[in-house]
Amino acid sequence: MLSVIYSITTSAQQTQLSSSISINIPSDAQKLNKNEALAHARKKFNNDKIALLSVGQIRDDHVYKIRDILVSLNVSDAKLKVNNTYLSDLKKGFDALTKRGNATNYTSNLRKINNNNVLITNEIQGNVGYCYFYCLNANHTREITGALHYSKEDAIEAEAILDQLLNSIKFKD
Amino acid sequence: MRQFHFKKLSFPLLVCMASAALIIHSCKKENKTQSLSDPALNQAKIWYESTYPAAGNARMLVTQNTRPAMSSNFDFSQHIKPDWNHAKKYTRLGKSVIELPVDPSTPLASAIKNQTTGKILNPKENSHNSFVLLNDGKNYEAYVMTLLADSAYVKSHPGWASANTYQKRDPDFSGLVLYFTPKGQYVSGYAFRNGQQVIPATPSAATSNTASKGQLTRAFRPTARVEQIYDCTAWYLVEYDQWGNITSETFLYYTDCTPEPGSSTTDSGGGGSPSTATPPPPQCQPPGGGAVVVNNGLTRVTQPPPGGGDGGMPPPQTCPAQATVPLPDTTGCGVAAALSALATNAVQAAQEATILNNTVATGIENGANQNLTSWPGSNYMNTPVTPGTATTWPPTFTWDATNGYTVGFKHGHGSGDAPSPVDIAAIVYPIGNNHDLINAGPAAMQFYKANTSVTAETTAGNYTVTISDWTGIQTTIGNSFATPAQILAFNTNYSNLAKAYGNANPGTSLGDATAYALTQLFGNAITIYFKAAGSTNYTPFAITTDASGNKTLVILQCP
Repeated sequence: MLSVIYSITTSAQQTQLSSSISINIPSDAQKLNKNEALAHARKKFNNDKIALLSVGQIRDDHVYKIRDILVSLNVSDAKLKVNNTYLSDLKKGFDALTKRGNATNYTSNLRKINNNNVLITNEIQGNVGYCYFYCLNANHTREITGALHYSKEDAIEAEAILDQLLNSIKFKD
Repeated sequence: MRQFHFKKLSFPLLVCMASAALIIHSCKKENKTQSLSDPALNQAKIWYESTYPAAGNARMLVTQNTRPAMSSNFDFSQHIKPDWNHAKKYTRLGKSVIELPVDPSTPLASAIKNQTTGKILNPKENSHNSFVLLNDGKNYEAYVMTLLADSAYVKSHPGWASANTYQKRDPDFSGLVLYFTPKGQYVSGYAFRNGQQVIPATPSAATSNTASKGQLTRAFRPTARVEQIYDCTAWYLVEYDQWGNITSETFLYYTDCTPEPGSSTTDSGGGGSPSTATPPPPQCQPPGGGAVVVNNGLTRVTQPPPGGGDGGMPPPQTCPAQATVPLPDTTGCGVAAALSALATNAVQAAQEATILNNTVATGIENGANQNLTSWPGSNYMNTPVTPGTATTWPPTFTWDATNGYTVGFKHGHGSGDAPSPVDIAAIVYPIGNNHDLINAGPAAMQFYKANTSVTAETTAGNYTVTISDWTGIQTTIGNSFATPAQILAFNTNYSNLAKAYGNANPGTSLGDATAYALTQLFGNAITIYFKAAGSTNYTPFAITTDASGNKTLVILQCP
């Protein structure tokens, strides 16, 4: 992962994903349904089977194409019932899982962004990058998750988009 | 001393004596077993004649005055014999078949009689008997196959007898096919109408052993609250000798059982009139007439499919002596109930607690083999909890009385994930690879297959995997999890699916995310069960798919 982060200046609008969670979606984002996301993945990732398997799991509630990066966001209306170690447990588990597989350049980080608790995992498999984030509010009652699927040459752009998204997440409670 | 004087024997007397000697010699000669040139036929003949020795060539000549009393079985072996000179050999339904006509010197005709009305259906001229010998490679079985053709069919198919053999059934055949042992024990029977098998519409209540025969019969079908009395019609098989005399009448089966008036709250108003059509023989029925839930498992008595799909006669099949034959538990609720019961066992619970505590405390996967003291059975040995590595716990498989009979293993997953693909492969591996299990025979392998499981204990609860489709799982593992490259690819997919699912479904635990991944990779070949921490109740997982095609792992609500 590059330590230099490009600052991308673009307009964005706060989008309400649920009654209690909102996020800034760049104005040049193109909203897709799942079939369109799969079609993009087939073309952009050259029918990469692993990429298609992963994209095939996304839900089509909030799927966007932001400058060739596929972004899918997920929220739940129900309050979360997890303990305080939820994210660290997930991190531990994903770290162990990934070791059994084929990923390269795998990283996982726990961060605090605007008082929200965030887990970010990132890896490259073949020519495709997979970035997953899990963002909980301060009292662990609400969660927004997201996945970014990108060509590895778009890694810097993907990181910038991720950064913009995470810094804009707002929980009402 | 007395002297004996022999009179000179007259010529006629001499002739008589010579004739008698000739007859006796001829009988003795005929009684002596004739070897056949075909070794297979000869071997079968030797077996048949030693198993069913005939009393001799004498036939009972019965007149109306000396008709024998109704008997429980008509001993065919004492009245007819196979014509070994006109045997036909072939293979069918996995067995070697020798089909033989009845020796023309011992003809037999049969009919079926309504004992209530005395009416004969299927007159004896419409009957045909033959012998069918089956060999599965180890043992012989012998049957008398009795065909009783409907009159209308016979009229339109005068050559019907030669068109209907065990090997080939006339597509238009109408009538009964009945199988007996040579000793006369009824084995099974099938009815056909215009080539289609006629299945009895309602289960017959005629399983009672207390009903008397030879009269309008009442049979009991006990219910939970009301004693139901049925009026049943008894059908008898009538045998005729070559002179057309009835040699026996033997009880065959009951049909047309209807509730007796006043015996049930669901009284239909009385028994119907006896049927005039050829009565379809009852097929095997479970006690109570339906699926039986035994120990929370779904079991049902089944009669094996009649076969005959190859154009031949349905083969002879006896109803299972045991009450139930287990069916695949397609929901998982039966197994879940069994797992829940085991979870209440104090020794098992203590072992599980040790496994999880040690795993969490040390960061090393701890585990224990699940070994039975005997099989079949459900008593587990108190096997030791031992440490593995940070990422694995290797099970030890044994199949002997000293070390126990391994039917799976339990181990801790500190990361919270469900059993891994490697864990699942470990319980599949003994099939085809462990010599103790292989040498224990097919029944042992079947027991193992039906009872094996692998459990991953996490702080959230236990995830247990059983195999639902052994052919499927062995195909998946053989094709996709056999080489290091395949295992790496499989594990990569497993990891990717779990991460993708967990991300797409906020709040999902790693255990559930990995369980979902297993369902996508193994499909219906496995069933996954979950027991929350602190509970003893296992429930199976299921996958639901919404209108948009999104799949979700859900808990199945068992009754």
